[in-house]
Amino acid sequence: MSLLLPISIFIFSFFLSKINRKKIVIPIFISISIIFTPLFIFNKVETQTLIFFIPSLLLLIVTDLSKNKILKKILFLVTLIYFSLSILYLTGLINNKMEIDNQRLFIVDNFSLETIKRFQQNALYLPKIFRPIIYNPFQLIFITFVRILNYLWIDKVITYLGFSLIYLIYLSLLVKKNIHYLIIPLVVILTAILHRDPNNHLIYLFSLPPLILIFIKNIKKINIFLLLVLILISCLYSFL
Amino acid sequence: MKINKIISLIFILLFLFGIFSRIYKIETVPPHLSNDEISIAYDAFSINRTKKDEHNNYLPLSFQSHSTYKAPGYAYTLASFYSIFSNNNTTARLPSVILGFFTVFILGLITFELTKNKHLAIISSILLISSPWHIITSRMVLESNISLFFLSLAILLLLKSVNNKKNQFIYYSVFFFALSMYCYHTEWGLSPLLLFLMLFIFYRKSRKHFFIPLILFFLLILPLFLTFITNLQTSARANTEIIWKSEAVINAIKNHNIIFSPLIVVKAIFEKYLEYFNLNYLFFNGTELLGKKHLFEQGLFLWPLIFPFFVGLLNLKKLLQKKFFVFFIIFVLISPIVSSFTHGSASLVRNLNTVLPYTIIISIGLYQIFTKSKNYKSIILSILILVSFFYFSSIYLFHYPIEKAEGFQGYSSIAYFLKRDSKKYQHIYIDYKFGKSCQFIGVPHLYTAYYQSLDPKLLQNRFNDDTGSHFGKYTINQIDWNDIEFKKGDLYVVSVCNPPVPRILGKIKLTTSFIDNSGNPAFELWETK
Repeated sequence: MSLLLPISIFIFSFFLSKINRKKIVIPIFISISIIFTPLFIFNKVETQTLIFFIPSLLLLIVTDLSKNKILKKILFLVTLIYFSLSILYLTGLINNKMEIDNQRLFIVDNFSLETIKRFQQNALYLPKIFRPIIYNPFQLIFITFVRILNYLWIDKVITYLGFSLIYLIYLSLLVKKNIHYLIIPLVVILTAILHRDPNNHLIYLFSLPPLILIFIKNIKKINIFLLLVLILISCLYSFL
Repeated sequence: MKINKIISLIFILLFLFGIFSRIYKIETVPPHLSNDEISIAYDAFSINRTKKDEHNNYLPLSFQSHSTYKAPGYAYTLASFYSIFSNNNTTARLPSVILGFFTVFILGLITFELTKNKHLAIISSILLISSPWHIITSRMVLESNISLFFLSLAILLLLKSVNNKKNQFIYYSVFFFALSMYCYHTEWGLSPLLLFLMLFIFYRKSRKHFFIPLILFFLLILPLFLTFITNLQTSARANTEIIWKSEAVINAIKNHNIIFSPLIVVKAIFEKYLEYFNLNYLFFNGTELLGKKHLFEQGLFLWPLIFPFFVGLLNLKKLLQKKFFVFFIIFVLISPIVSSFTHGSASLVRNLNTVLPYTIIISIGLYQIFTKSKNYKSIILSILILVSFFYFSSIYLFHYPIEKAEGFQGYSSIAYFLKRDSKKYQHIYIDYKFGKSCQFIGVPHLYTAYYQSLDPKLLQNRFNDDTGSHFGKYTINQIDWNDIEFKKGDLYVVSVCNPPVPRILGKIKLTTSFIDNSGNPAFELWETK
């Protein structure tokens, strides 16, 4: 079952390279570096995750295939919604009936609300009317931001995606094109961090398809030796 | 013009509030001296009175503390203060406060030397004076804070020597680089590295100005080096704090083949190094005042400065003098290296020297935004900075002592009580454990001796046995109510986590009790009937 995931990534990369008329070498090495990311080496992929993951690849292919600008935008929006819903479902934040499980949401955490109340009570240095204005649930926005930043910072990216993917991300960001696809990983992170204990594995797994798309579209040249060395270091790094 | 005045006014306010935040409630925020702080304060007091430290060592160069050793700089600086001021928290914190202020102005001068831009220099000083990172460390008895002062002075003098071509400044600089090593252990690695790199970058072509300063430097640090060598077999700082002594690394080594051990250590150091560049740590939760996941946790810098930080990074080359660009990049990259070799979570104290390059980067970003962006953006950013500073200072000065009251129950209030009433008792027993579930281990002997200004000879001549540590009429131990022979005139000081067992309540009576800052009971004093 676990083999299905790398195979689907291989097919996805090849198909994308064909659509984008890229040389076959690049998708091969992109696929190799992705398959050897710490994300796949040391983690089991559940069947349910796979069921949600494969359609996400198809949706991205369809979005990339479409020539009509309006249709492309609509498809992109549908893809975004699909990714969010997949994450919400897989993390248990919503169920089959699309009901939200409040117990798993971090923003309705009683502890946070109690903290705000306690700060209002202890803010005796402020006139009473200002206390609820200064200390209010608005602060949760910062916490959300902190949680998002956690997943964008290099240490977590190295742990889950490895050094080779950082190299590929760097190469693709040098060409300032197709950056809008990065919205998908951002939405994935934003959705996943709504959970009290976000699932790191899911976050990076569902961030992969748009990244592969950007790699294929943007990268024209790869230093293969460097990439292989980085793959090796990544494997060693996650093994230790 | 009007808009520039508004921004200037906001920054003048920020400067004034920064000064205010550094001195307001200095006696009570943080609520009392921590174990490390009291250790330095007491050693300084002891040196002032007897020229010997707590452990009866004559003018030591390495101060023995609880399970570690401390650099001597702070203790000797503080020692002279006790000739004028009395033993309290304010006196102990004064060197840090004063040298913290000087560091602010020195950073301004460093920025000026690096950029030759007066506005940038002023911005960097204002940013440092209002930086949560530097405010917190300047209000504590921290060796790293005075070490930062000497390090920044050393850097300034070397930059001045390069800019003004005055070679005597190199030797002044070397002196302060060496002095910084006498103040904090992070500088043991950083100062030589930085000095070597600076001399290499700016003076490698002149043998005289490259080698002689280095030789002078090694002569100046020789006494420290010799002390370290003689102390190596016991528990010198480097032996107790190093990353490969951490449980996580030891466990990882156990779980792998021995040949991977060096790689595991390298990985741990690398991970720690990356932590020091983490944006959350820098702008959202690095201070760890309330706990990393706390809703109102604060960053080392005010959060709106995250935007100028990126702008600054992109404009470094443009605003730094060409000859200093390489040095500055190296400075940023090597600053956290030494701290990365130590275990525990990313520490704002060990990594304090990094506040210098980061503040310069942020000031460059702010300067760029103010000079290039549309005016409304500058005003919004200035207001956000001021508002976030208000949040930080109110949380730090008012909420932090309440939220973290349990860890600050402290023995200072007990010591003040005993200063007045100890004559009533024949013998006083103090339990060194405190907290709701006795999870904290304190050093009550130091608090008792410091706040009462007891003769230092008492502690220097104390003796330890199975029943505890004894000096004068005091015994410090873990009080076990089931194993006490009650004598008339005995006083027992215990945390509320260790209440007397019911069967002995007939033999003792409650003398007084103490609450912590949140109003919860902290300590009880029981005397024999």
